[in-house]
Amino acid sequence: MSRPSPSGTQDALRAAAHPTGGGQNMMAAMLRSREFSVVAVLVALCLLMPFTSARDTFFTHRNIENILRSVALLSVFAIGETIVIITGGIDLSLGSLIAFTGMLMALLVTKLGANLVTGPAILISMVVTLIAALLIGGVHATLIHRLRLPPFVVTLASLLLLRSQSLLMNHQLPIPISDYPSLGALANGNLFDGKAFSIPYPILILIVVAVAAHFALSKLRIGRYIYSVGSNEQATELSGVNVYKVKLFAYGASALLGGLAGILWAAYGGQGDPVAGNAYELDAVAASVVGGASLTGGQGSVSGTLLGATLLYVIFSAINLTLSSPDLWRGTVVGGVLLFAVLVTALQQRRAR
Amino acid sequence: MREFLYYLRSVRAGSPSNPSSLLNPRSIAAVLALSAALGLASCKDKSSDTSSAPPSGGAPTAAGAPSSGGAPLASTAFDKPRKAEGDVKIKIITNGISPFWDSMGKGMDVAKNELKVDASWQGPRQPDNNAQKGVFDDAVAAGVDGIAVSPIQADAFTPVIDGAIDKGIPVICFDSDAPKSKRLVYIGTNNYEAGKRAGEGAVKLFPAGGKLVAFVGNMSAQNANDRYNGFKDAIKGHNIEFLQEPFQDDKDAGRARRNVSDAITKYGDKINGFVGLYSYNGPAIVDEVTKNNMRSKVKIVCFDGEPKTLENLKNGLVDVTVVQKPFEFGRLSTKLLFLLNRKGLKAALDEMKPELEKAGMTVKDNNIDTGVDVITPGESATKFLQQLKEKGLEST
Repeated sequence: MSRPSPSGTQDALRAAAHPTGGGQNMMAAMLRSREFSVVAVLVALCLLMPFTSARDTFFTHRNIENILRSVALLSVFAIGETIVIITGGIDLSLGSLIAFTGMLMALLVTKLGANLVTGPAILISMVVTLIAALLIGGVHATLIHRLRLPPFVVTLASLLLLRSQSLLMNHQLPIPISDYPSLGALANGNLFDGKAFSIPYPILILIVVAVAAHFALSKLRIGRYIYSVGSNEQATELSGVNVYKVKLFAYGASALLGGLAGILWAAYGGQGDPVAGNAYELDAVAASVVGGASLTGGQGSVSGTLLGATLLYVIFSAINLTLSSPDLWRGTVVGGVLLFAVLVTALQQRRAR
Repeated sequence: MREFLYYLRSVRAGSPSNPSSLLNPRSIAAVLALSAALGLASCKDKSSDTSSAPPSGGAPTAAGAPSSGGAPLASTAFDKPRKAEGDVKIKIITNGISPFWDSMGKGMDVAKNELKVDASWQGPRQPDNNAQKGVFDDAVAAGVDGIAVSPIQADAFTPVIDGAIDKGIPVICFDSDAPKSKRLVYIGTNNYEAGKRAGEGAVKLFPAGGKLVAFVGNMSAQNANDRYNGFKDAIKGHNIEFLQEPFQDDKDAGRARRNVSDAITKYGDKINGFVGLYSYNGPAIVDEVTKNNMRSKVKIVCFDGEPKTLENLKNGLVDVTVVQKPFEFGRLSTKLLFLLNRKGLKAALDEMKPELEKAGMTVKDNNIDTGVDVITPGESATKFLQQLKEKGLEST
């Protein structure tokens, strides 16, 4: 209930700005960090796999590739969610935004593709879609900051609104884009395809997004402001920071990455799908929280979220490959991990005090 | 729930200058609980949206269970003409919004124009029992002359249907039945039979036997169970077996894809065939099989006619798809309710029976099984796609 103590905030700020300190402190900090505990669980899981029925399948090239692709498709927008969560807000619109932007892109590309050369048609559709997403994020930030509306309600309204708009776009029907194989390759293709080290394209996109987001959060002034707004918004505002701009950045980034995810999901399924992305915003919240983000704001990191998403999909894969009725156990395991992650945070905070 | 009220209060009274304080740990529970509820609600949405599952969407009663055959006619009150002349107003109530219902609506339009009847259809905004009851009550209040409904929860909806019947409004069920209610007729697909037809298709595809994996939204839904059981009964004794229970995806298309990928990882070349029990499972299977260059080694059996499935059919990427007839749900429901008003229930059924039986449908007591079409690539697909085009349908 209590707000994070100022010193905790400072720690978070410092940890974010300088993930590695020096000497023994560094070691201790690393052992305490959320990233470390998630990695520990991941390693434990991987060590366990050779003793299960999935010993021959889990570490296969195609399974790892599949996990990586899924992690990338989730992380791309989970990173945006994390940025919003760090400011102390939440973006519930992402699942619907994925459907909406996917439909928009599919609609544009099929309409433009009829009159234009394929390459430019795809490019223009993507750019327009991303701009639309960015505008939606801008509207979120403006409503939330200028009109002082709660982020939960604003983005909840978006969740409902965008879903309904996606359904309206083509009379509830999906829009196939299989005539544009290069678009499909964006999500389904690999770099060095067929070689031992083939890398799914979404992973490359994720690397660019993650590096940029990490850089912004840890090295740029806007990053410090994002943590600062999440720790104590009033103090940040009083110290002369333009909080509106900070929120524009956060919600804009979240929606932009949601739009990117929408394009990727449409490419993945070969169609703009008005019912795609259902409840995906919750997966994004789960990945962020497992990765150490706190819904009270001020805490969270790109690396944590990446690890959180990886842990989720490694678990999904492990369950699917070992159990014969995997789907019934899924919720129990994921719920357990989520609860465990929050518990660990609470204990760590208590000890820190 | 209390957490949520607490949250609302804090919104109203709270310090708007610091919205982040609204997200204190106590309200997180509310946040998650509410969004989970929304997620669930929209999940259900998907069940109908993807048309796969038009159906009972988890309704405890069997839409097409083999045994759900005709209850005795509930009431003779409807055997007399109810409205021998004048406008007849008919309402069709679906279990949600989906492309599947779009086809149904087109069928309704055909009967509407042919018979000059005032018919319209509507789905509840949320696919839950109470929202559907709201739509139903509105129709009753508007004084319609007949209602066709696809109940989301058959047992919960039974008193609602009975209430309207007692008021003298004829009610029939389509797509999904409420067998314990006083509904006059049920028009729909027998999902057990549909599964059986798909299984028979598999028997033809694997004359020497084979190993299969199945994919589905939720096995807790009656239609999924019926399809799966029908399939299993059809392949019995033909040396065809499933490698494990069906993979489930909660009607999430992304998860459906990953399940196929995981199945390929898990069983590899052991798999001879894939079975997609819900509409979107077919496209997910085709995408993943194509990606892994397995098409020449495996057979694919799926259900329903999503736009992508129709495209795959055209390109020979699926071997069998079993499609329902939502168009007929709409056309027949409208026609039956109209004739029932003009001539009474028994006369209406008697009049329609020859037409239905000629079209290969089964009429037993007051159950009309509209049947399924089994489509294979080639001539059968071309003919089927042509028929759809003539009806102006993009999916079925």
